[in-house]
Amino acid sequence: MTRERALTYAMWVVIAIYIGIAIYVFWYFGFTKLPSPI
Amino acid sequence: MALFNVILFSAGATFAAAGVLFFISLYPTFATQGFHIYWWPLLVEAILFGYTLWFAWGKVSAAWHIFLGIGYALSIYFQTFAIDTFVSGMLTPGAATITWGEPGLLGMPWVDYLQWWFNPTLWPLQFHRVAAAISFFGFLIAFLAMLHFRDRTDPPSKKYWDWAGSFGILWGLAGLVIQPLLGIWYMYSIFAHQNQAFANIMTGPRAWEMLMMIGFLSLLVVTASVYFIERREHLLVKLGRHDIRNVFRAFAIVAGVAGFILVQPAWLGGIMQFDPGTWANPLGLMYYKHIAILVLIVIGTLIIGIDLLVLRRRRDEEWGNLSRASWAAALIAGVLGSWIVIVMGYVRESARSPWLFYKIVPVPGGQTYPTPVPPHQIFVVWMFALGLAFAVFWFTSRVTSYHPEQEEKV
Repeated sequence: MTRERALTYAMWVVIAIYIGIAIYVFWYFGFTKLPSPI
Repeated sequence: MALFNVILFSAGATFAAAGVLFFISLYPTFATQGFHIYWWPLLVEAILFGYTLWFAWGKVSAAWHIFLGIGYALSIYFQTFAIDTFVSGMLTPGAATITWGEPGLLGMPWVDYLQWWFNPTLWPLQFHRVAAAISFFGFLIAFLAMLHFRDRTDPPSKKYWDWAGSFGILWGLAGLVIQPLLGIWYMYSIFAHQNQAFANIMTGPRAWEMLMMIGFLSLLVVTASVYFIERREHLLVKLGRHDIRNVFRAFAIVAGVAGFILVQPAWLGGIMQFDPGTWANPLGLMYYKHIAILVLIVIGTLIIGIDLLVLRRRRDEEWGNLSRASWAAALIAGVLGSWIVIVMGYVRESARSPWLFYKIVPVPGGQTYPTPVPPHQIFVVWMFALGLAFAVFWFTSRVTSYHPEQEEKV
C-alpha cells in the first residue's frame, strides 16, 4: 500500500469518525437533553 | 489574498468602531456597565487589532510571512474570544445583579469578573462562531471567485478563479457540517442556563428565526450539492463514474427533503402552542428535525470526502470549464453563507429581548421601542447590511484581483 493510499484510507476513517461523533452529539443533546416543543 | 484580508479588515473595523459609538450613545447604561465589566477583555481585543498592521509585508522574509499568517489566525481567534466574553455574558450573565464597590483597578472581586467573562455560554458561542467564520469565508471566497471568473477572459485566470471557487465551496461546506454540532451544544447551554430565552427563540412568535436559519443551512447543502453535480459532471462522464454522478444527484434530492422537514413549524394555526385553533404539525416533530440535520451533516461530509479523496487528482484537468449552473450555485452559496451569519446573530440577540444584560439591564424606552424589531424592519436592515457588505467585497476584489498572466500589482 502506498503512502498516498494509506492517507486516503485514513481520511475516510476520519470522516467516518466525524459522522459517528455527529450521531452521538445529536443523540445526546437532541434525544436525551433537549425537550421537543410538542 | 493577504491584501484583500487587510482591506476587508480595515473596512470591518471602521464599521465596528462606529458601532461602538452607537452603543455608547443609544444605550448609555448598558455601555457603562458593559465596558466596566468587560474592560480587560476589550483591551485585549483592541491590542490584538495592532497585529494586523501590514506595511512591511514585502520587506520581510518568507518565514515571517508564515509566522504572521499563523499569527493572524490566532490573533483573530483570541479577538473573537475576547468579544465573546461580552456577547455571551449579555445572554447568560455571570451574576443576578451587577454589584460594584471594590476599590482600585477592579471594581468587583476577581472571581466575580471570572464568572462574568467565563459565563456558561462562552465556549459554545466561541467555537460556533469560529466554525461559522470558516464557513462564511469559504462561501465568500467562492462568491468573489465567481465574480472574477466572469470578469476575466484569459484562460489562466479562468482556471485560477474556477479553482478558487471550488476551494471556497469546500471550505464553506467544511465549516457548515461542523456548525450543527456546536449549535446544538450552544442551544443546550442556553436551555440549561437561560430557559426563557431558549423558549423565546424555539417557540412562539420568534420561532420563524430558527426555521429561517435552518432553512438557509439546508439550502446551502442543496446549493453545494447542485454545484458539485454540475461542476464535476463533465469529469465524471469522462471517467465513467456514473455512480458518483447518481450519488451527487441523490444528495441534492435528499438534502431538499431534509430541508423541507427542518422548516416545518411545530404547530400551525396559532402563534403560541395552546392558542385556540392550533394543531400539532405531524412533520414538525423535533426528533425528525434532529435526524434531518444529521442527514445534512452526512451529505456535506461525504461530498467533501468524495471531492477531496476520490476526485482529487482528476479535478485539475477540468479547471476553467465552469458551467453556468455551477457558477450560479457558487454565487448563491455566497449570498446564503453571508445571510445565515447575520440571521444567527439576530437569533442570539432576539433571544435576550427585551434585555441587554438578560434580566439585569433592559433595552431603554420600554414599550416605546419594543425589541426585537418586527420582521419587515429587520429584513430592511439585513438587505442594507448585505448590500453594504457585498459592495465592500466587490470593491476590494476589484483592487486586489489576482492576474496569473502577470505579476500581482496592487
